Amino acid sequence: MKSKKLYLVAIILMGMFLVGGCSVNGSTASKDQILDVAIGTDINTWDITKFPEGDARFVWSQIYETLVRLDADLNMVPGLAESWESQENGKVWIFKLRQDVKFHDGTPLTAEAVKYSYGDRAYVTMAKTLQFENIEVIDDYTVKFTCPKPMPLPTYMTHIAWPVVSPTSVSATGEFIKPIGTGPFKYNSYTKGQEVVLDKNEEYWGDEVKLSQVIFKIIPDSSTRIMALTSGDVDMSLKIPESDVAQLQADKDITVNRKLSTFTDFLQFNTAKAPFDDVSVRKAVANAIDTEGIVKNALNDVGVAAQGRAYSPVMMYSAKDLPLYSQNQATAKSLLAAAGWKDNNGDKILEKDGQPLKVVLLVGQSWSPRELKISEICQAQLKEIGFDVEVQQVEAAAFSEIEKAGNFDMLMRTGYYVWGPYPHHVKVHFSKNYASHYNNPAYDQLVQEGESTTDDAKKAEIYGNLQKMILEEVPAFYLLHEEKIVATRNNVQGYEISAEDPWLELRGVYLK
Amino acid sequence: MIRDILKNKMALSGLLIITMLILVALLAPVLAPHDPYEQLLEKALMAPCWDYPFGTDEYGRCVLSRIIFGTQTALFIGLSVTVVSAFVGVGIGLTAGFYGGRFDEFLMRIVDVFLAFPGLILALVVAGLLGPGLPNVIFALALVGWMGYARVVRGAVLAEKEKEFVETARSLGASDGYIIFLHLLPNIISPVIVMASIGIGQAILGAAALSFLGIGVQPPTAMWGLMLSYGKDYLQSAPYLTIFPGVIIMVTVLAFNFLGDGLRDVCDPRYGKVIEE
Repeated sequence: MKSKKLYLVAIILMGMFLVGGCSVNGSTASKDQILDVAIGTDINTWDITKFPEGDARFVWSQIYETLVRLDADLNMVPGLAESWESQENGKVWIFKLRQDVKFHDGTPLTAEAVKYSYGDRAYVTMAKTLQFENIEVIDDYTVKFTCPKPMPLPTYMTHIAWPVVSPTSVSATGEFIKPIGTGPFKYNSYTKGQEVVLDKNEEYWGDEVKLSQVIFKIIPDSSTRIMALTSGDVDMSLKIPESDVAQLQADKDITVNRKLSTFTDFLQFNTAKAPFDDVSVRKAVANAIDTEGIVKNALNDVGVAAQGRAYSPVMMYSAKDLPLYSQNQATAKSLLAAAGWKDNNGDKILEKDGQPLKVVLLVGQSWSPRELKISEICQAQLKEIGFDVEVQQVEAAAFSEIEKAGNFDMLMRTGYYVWGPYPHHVKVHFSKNYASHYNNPAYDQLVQEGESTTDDAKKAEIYGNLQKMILEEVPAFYLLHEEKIVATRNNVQGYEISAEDPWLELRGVYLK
Repeated sequence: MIRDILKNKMALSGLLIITMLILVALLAPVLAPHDPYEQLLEKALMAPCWDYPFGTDEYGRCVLSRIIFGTQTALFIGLSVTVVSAFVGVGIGLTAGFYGGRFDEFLMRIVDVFLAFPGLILALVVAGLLGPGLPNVIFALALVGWMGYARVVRGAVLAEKEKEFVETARSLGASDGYIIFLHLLPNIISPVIVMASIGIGQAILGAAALSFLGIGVQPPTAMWGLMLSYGKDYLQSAPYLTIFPGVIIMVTVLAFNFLGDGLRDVCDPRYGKVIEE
């Protein structure tokens, strides 16, 4: 009798759990066109006052849009701006806006909104990535940017982290209310660390959006993301580790979309202090690491070995015939020996002036799990030429703190200062950049010339020279060019992967 | 006593496994078929085969060799955590129990404060704050492990100190230190030994949990918890990366628990007598 009662209680409890687990997400969207997407990191900001880290940008690219867009192969195409033209050799830029665009709250897109989005509140101007002498509203649909010097402004205007937002997303007292953009999907709800629900924008200016709802599920662990995909809990997963690609490709229900992206992984040196103030030591590192082997064996041939090349081949002005590095331990060892590093006490770690060759390699946690793996491979390969490398993995905030304090020798970075195909990335090593850790007046001058010249042939030459200089001077050693991987279940139709990372194009997507 | 242990099957099996583990740890360089730190990327993620009985990990390192070298780390952590926490706990328990009064009250409230924290969470915070490194892990785990010893020892001392032999020693003019260390300590040591042998297992498990969460011992150190943590990304494609370290953690912790349980039975005054009656 007693046990029967227990059973009853158990069944009731189980029933309650089942009902609780199946609660429908608030809105009345038709069930069949809801796309579930697994992403790896939480949304650190919804407002343009901060830089959206990691996968937040995939979500932003549904809500917000930019003046200039990139197609799947990185060609600049009109976005919210219909057309643009430059005056005074690229010092002044005039953007003509589309006239049929409305924000999600029904207010029209006007030049005022653009001015607001690139005003004092915006991260991009606070961080001094973009500085304007003046932003002028010429009429409702024309806006004029005056830059302090000639620059290719449209190439800046493609970055999803600096989109056009509605001034109404902030209250009269200056408090952020909710994200209001012009994108194909609008904000519905957000549960911290769990999920983001976006609804279809019924009044989208482009082709009609086919999905009724997109739900981004935040799943930090990559193997859990893959399990969610294979079990059908999600229809699409971003950030698939390279080592799992082969296994997913063998799955009949799953399509793995791959494309060489604009991102490149690199080891940046702190040239302000020993031992990497010596170019021979930096070159020794470049000779010691087997980037081809890393891509072939550790990443199962997903991605392209960079061998020191600073930009991915899909980037503009990516030079061919560069003198690339291949692993050569003998050269690496002789470079170190010539620089005065010798193993005097037989512990296989080199010393110079009584100091061991001990370096700290800092790895962040925001972009891809492969970064830690590659760092540990570099650690082992550098050990073979006499380095004692300590790999420290820290969260994003601690990373920038340590970077500012200068307590590191190497940084592992991915796609840093990369948006779109234009090689803005060269500015990473520009001495006035706070993230530079490298000082070379000749390099600085080339960067400035490349930015301000308008002659395309001359640009190609300057950026070619910069790439050569990076290979000779090694302010950073470039490891591999990333392949963007988006895995979808076969019910997802109409998805075309774009080479831009981080960007997710869902406009043409529908479910079968 | 030793004969009792050998008669107790549980204790004996625990003891045998532990002896084997100690031998493996000592002879690791001889036993390991490969260098546990050597990365052979072209041999990454090989399934178990003749050359690599437990397979290779994502860096092409021999899993068996890493488990063998991991024994050193695990036993070292287990022993040092237990020694430190037993030392602190017994010291506090002895003095608190012996002197009693406000002193006792004060120390026991400190124990209560520490007991109020969930153990692993506190260790996580401490190890996280101190940063990576083996000594920090040992400190963090010892910090959450000493209270049990203090409680048990204090209780035992409270009972023992009222007995005649203590009175006798005192009337003969023995100092406090003499009574504590030569009279009380030997009489309360058996529960401590039992706790310690279970404690080693718990410390190994705790260290594995911390390194699984990425706190404490840093790669590329060969450590079981770390191997689990790295292997979990390959649960479906290479399950041997998690199965073998998981099994060895289980076996080790079980062995120490068996030994501890067996010792407790042996130390119990009622042990064996039931059978004789």
